[in-house]
Amino acid sequence: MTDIGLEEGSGGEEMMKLLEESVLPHLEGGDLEIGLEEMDDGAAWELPDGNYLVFTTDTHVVKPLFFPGGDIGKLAVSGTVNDLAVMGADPKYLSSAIVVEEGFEREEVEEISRSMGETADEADVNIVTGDLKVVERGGLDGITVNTSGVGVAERLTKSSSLEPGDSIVVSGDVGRHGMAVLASRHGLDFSIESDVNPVNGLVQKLMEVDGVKSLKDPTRGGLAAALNEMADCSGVGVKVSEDKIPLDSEVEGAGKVLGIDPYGLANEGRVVVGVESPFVDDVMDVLRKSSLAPGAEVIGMCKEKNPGKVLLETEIGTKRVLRPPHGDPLPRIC
Amino acid sequence: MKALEFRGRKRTKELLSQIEREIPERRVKVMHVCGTHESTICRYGLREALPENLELVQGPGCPVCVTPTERVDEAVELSKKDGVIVATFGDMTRVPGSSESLVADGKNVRIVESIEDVVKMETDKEVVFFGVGFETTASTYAPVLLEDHEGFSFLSSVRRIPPAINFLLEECGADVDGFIAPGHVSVITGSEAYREVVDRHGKPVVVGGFEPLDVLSSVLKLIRSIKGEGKLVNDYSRAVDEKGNENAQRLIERAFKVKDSSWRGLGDIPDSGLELKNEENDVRKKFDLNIEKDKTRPEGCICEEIITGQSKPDDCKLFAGGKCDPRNPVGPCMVGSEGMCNVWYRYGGT
Repeated sequence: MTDIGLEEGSGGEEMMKLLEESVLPHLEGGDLEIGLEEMDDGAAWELPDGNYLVFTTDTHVVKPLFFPGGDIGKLAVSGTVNDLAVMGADPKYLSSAIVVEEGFEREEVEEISRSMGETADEADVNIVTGDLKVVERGGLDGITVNTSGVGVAERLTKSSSLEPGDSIVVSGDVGRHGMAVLASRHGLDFSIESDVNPVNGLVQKLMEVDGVKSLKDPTRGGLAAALNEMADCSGVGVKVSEDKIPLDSEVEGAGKVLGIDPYGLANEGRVVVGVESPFVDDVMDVLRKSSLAPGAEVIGMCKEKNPGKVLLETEIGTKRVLRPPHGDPLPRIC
Repeated sequence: MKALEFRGRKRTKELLSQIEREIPERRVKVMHVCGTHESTICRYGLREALPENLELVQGPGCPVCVTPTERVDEAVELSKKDGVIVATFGDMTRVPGSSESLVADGKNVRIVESIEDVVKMETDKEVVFFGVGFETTASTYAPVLLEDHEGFSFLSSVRRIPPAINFLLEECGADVDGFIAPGHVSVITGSEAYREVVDRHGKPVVVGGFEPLDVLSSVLKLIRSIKGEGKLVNDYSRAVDEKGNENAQRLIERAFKVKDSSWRGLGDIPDSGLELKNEENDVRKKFDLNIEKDKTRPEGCICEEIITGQSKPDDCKLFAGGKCDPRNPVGPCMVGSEGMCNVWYRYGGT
């Protein structure tokens, strides 16, 4: 018997290994436009009218349940809505499946549900089906919330479509969600709020801009993982400037104190955009007009050199390779 | 003071070109002795930016890494005794002992963030604090160790940096041209603590800070010293003076006695350890510990060479082959954030 370790749920190499060895061999993904084997944010199925039905699911286990800037309910809706949105879909309907531990307060279930409803309103989606189960005390730590969602896409965005010369844009300051959760978990006195928000409205506007090729929501593994995935899937080198990467001064300070690189921390309301450079100003125009994109910046460019790698020009002008974070510095963050 | 003063692009360029101009043509090997220095070097890609003939290595500057296997084994043995809890920092629980780490069984192991957490622990068991660290940490242990605490004992893995540097030169024949001494240890010891390294061995020592410009400035001053006479330079005068923090030194003197100590990769170093003065709380007085020194090490692991500055992580087949990582560390240098392998892992090497 082999015990599963926490790191095997981190979204990194270990999780892939677990899935590839023990889960995927037993499942048949079907012949889809984007299927199980692509391990993307969701699956996509071509409809008779040429559009795509996009389907995704996510289980949320964040600890604490209520954190500065949000809670598990807002996170559960935003996470699924954003996963659909960055694949190019207009999110429509969500399901909600809640598992509660015996003894969990009813008022908290209500508060979480209210938060889910409000977030769904904001995102202009409906929660149309669901399930609730209670397990015995100790069978679970409080509550988990699963949401699945469907949406329709006219075209699908993929991480694999970037070419040398394309620009990379990030829609706002990074590392907020991870640091907010971490700080509240450790009782640290920061005023950092999570960026958790549904960004489908913003993504829809970005999709209308010519030249937008690739969109990623930099959740687990943060900006570092998102950029590496883009570089890897597209076979380009990505060069970014540290000076340009927007970072809240408190997030930066907390990162230094805790020895954690904010580029590897989760975001729950940001988008990384890959766009043909002549259209980058149009992307920035859209972002500047949105309240969900504070401090958006063009942070770098795709290059022919160093394919599959992300090179970071540091704030003092030297260079280092920005690798995807290994494992998870913070389990149970989303 | 604004951090930006230590991170300007212009000043970085100036320092780098000064170093380029002034470095001798031969290979120059500089050793720093601190995980925080290594983090700055990697985080800012300084090795790549510095001249090729400058070799920058990390010496025995990670307290977790230099703790020898037998000390870990002692802690593991204690944690298996009835009525005993071993409390220590998270990193220490993951350092491999000869057969297992503290975390492997883990039932009677508690992770703490400070010695204060230990004495506040409410339990009727004997709590053994497995304390690791250098002078800086020793000064934080001392006030608590000077108090009377029932049901508390101390397993010391506390060490002094300057004797280790002397030992490296004297007994290990380290081919190092000069040292960057760790700023925070020096806050306590004062820069004069390295006088012997300079006077006896003729090797320059520059006490350095941790911002990227601090490191570059220390490298430049070291190069100047290497070319001239070995000198002791305090390049971190905003925090360090000659004598150090004398109050902290007095506390350390009252709480600890200087003893020989065993270091991983280096062996027994005279006068390099700090053991508890108050024998009533000394774990060795309360328990019979019969651990044999274990010289074997995990197959393929080169932590001992890394600790002594003879190798770098990418010389290690386990590191390069992805067989050793922070979640499943084979050797101690991969465990904590001060270990060279761990730092290289996080920042993508070099």
